[in-house]
Amino acid sequence: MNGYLVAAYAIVWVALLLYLGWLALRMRGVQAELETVRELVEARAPNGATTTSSSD
Amino acid sequence: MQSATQNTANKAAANLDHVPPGVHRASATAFDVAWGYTRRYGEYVLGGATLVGMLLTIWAAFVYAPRELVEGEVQRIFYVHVPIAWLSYLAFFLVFVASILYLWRRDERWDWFARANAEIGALFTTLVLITGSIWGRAFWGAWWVWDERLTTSLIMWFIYVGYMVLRSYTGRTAQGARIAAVVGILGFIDTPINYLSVKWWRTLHPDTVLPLGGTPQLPEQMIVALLIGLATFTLLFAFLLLQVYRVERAQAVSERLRAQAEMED
Repeated sequence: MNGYLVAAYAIVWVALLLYLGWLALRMRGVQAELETVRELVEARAPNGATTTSSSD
Repeated sequence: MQSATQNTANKAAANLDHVPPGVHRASATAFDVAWGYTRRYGEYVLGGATLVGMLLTIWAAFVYAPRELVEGEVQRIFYVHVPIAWLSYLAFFLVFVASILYLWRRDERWDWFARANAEIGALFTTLVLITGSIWGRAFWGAWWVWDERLTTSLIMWFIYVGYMVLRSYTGRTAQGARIAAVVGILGFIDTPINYLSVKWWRTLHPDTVLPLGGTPQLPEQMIVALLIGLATFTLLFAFLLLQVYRVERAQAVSERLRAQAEMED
């Protein structure tokens, strides 16, 4: 098997997997940030206010 | 009574959890239910199909496609190099369209869409340059030559990396989005030049293998392998676009909510 060929395919696949991993980390980070903001908003809400998970 | 910020926070969280819209409502139509489940499970189907396609592409490139007589084994790089090059064109075309629509409608969803496409297009162009360079080293004996196709590809890479640097520098402001949209429109000029460079100049780069409206220049098995690669990378592109768009949207919502919460304080 040609070394250049194997190197090209390996680089493409490894790069794509690394990018997917980085995307997952970014998503996790932004979800954590949203959760923090939601808690911040809830903490500042007037007494008796509740939050729901409606998507409407 | 919930504040507007609270409502937005709840909606954002619900969207991120992929709750199918309309599914829990008594008034939901069949379309609502179908759309809800498509949103909920569609990306899993897309991800699974991409994975299967990847395996199929490797099989088609290494086993199914015949060995090319002149270039030998290294020609098989072509089955990933060409699809990712075409998809980088698609990504930059979508940046162009989304940028026009953003300037016209001032709807920030088009801005998120343009950002997502620019990021994936830059990634794909990077891979095109790397795989092309490896092929050039094996076939031409040089990692790089200042050929018109290669040079315009490098310019294209600089344009979209520059676009992302600009976005990072200007932050998520309306002014930054407008400037980026102008760059996204003007930057697209290089893409058709890059595509047509092999026609306009005498380049070392091989000519278009599947000319639009023309006769394919390849044996049937090679075309099939190329189309399998193209279908797979198109699925991958759609999957990545969905993920990056979601990250962009969530980041924008998060930043806005934090700013609103701090203002209400």
